[in-house]
Amino acid sequence: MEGDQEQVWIRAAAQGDLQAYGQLVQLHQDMVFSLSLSLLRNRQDAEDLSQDVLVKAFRMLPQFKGLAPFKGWLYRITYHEGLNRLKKINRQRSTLDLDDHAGDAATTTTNHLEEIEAADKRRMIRLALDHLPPEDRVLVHAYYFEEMSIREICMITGMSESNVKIKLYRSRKVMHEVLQKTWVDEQAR
Amino acid sequence: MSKPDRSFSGGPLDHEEKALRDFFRTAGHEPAPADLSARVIARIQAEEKLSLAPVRPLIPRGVWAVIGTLVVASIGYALSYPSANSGSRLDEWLGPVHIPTIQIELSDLLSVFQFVPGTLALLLPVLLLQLYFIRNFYEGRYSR
Repeated sequence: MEGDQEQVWIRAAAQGDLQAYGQLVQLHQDMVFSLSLSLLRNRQDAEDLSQDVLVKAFRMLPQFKGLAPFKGWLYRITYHEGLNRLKKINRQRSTLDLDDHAGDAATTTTNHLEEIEAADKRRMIRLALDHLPPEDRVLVHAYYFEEMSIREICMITGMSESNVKIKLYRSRKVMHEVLQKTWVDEQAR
Repeated sequence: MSKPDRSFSGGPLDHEEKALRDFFRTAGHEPAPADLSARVIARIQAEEKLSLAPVRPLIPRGVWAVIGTLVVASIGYALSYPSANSGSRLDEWLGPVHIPTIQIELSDLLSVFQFVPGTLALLLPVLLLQLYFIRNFYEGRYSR
């Protein structure tokens, strides 16, 4: 049902209906922002990238043939734009601004205990992702957050299946180690 | 997107993999700023407005038209009224000006140029280039 509604919005947005596109943005903005943040590791840069990606996607929408899911199409745009932006940022900055997003969780807290716990986990994931190179961060994001299949990830990144599997295996080891250590440290406090 | 119930290596989920998946699943997406959608729509609207706004050209269209007409008319005039002494009035005007000669080795091409004054051969590409720019200008390719 949701997929049908999405198709309606896609068709309308491709013809310039901004209200329909607004609905599509609402539906996928968390994914776009989350991937942007995983790649760029800075909230302001991630917001800028998300905005650029979503504007670009609107311009490119008439070219979207609907052969693949819209989510994957948007993910691919974010991935490629993100890598380009990362190269540009890395040329401008010698060090990554880690302090900027260390306190981000505070802005997302609500009174709900579950949300606080989820925000805490997201913060830990961000810290763990910092231990991975940008391309591996995307793989982890796509596989664990978006629960994409290896085949889908290969289509988006252009990597071979074996390469994705090896990278995911290594990333998983690193993530598991860091998360476990962070978790133990947090509990000890 | 499908939710895999096996690890990426194809084998059953081990403890490490399962723990990691559960951790990500319960953490959820990093929430986008609440006003992101509004900002995106506002930017698209602003860009559309900007692309519709007329851009005042440095040289108005009328002036371009006059320039083009003058160039075409002067060339036409020069070619239409040949003087008695030289090939054309254009040759007369350009008489004192030293124009470097171009040696073209292809004999077939030379036979064509025998019927065309040398100056025309030189001016024709310039005229075509100008027409190209004028056409692009009228088609609005130099505006946003």
